[in-house]
Amino acid sequence: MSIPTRFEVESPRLFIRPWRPEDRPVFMQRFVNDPDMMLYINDSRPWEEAKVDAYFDRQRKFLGACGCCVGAVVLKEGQMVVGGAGIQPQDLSGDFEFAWSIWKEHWGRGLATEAAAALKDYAFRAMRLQRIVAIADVPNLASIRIMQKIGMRHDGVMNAHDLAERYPDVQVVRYILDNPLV
Amino acid sequence: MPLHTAPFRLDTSRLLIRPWQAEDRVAFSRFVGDTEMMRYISPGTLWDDARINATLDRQARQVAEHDCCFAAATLKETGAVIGVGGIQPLGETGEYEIGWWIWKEYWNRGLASEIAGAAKRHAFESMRLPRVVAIVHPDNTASIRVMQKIGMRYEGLRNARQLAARLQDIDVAYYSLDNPG
Repeated sequence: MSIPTRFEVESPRLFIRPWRPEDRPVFMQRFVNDPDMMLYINDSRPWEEAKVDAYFDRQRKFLGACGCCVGAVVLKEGQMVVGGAGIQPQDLSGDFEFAWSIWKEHWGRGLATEAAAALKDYAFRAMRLQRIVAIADVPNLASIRIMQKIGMRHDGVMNAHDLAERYPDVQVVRYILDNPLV
Repeated sequence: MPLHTAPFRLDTSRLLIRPWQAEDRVAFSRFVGDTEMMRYISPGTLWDDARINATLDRQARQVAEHDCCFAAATLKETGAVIGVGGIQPLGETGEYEIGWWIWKEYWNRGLASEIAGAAKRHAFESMRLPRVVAIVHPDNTASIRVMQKIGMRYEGLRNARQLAARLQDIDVAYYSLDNPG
């Protein structure tokens, strides 16, 4: 089986595509150094440079190994990067998970929901995954609401570090969606 | 010792929350015998008569000893008991919890937020508690939203049984709020 080297997901207003070196400044400014964006990622603290490097390296490796990654969310109109989203493997559970994060300047327009719906379609139709999961901190209702909106079902609370080595030892809620097509 | 002698009650625009009366038992039994209602309150378990008696007895004791309880929430307009709301000591933790359950026919009207806001005010202004907590099933996003709306902060997951022996051996999300006064 050949692994696609492209990862490009399209929705009415958005493209999702792998990160490029020139995305780093906006990623730092709008995501890593914004305490509101980092609230559920790192207790509102920014990532160190080494962690940012590791993130971009990891996404490049995921793309090569699995044909998917978490990449830039680009607004078609104006070609502006407005967030990050994608599909990535969990090394310990063996599952693939959704991720999305829209910079706060662009909240309230349904962009995360639109990205999530497009990713779901891609995971099931293009990648033909058996199932897909998503995890969130218990109080992260904005993200959980999107999981519910795209039809995912609650599967319980578990330790994130048991799902993927890269995650900290923290309890998260997991949502699951089975592929109706396979 | 109670600091004041008025019976525990919370008065909101649409609700009167007051200690249980004998005739409320029918409504209460209906709540705790309904699978959908109990989904997040005692997952997988409906309450039998013994548990109903124990709960109503405990609430009567709490009113006498602590001047608060998880009480009957009644709709002012009709007098119907439409849920549970109030303040009670959380097991042996030394904390006081605020809580609410709304009978399913009355969901999506903002009644839980009304109870939560009134319970918070009563706890801070009348009882002068230094802080209140709330516990919730981690999947109960409707209730978590109410906790966030009144300013409560997530502290993490706790085992419910370790908080209060009467509770199930399950993880619950623990929220707290300090008295700003």
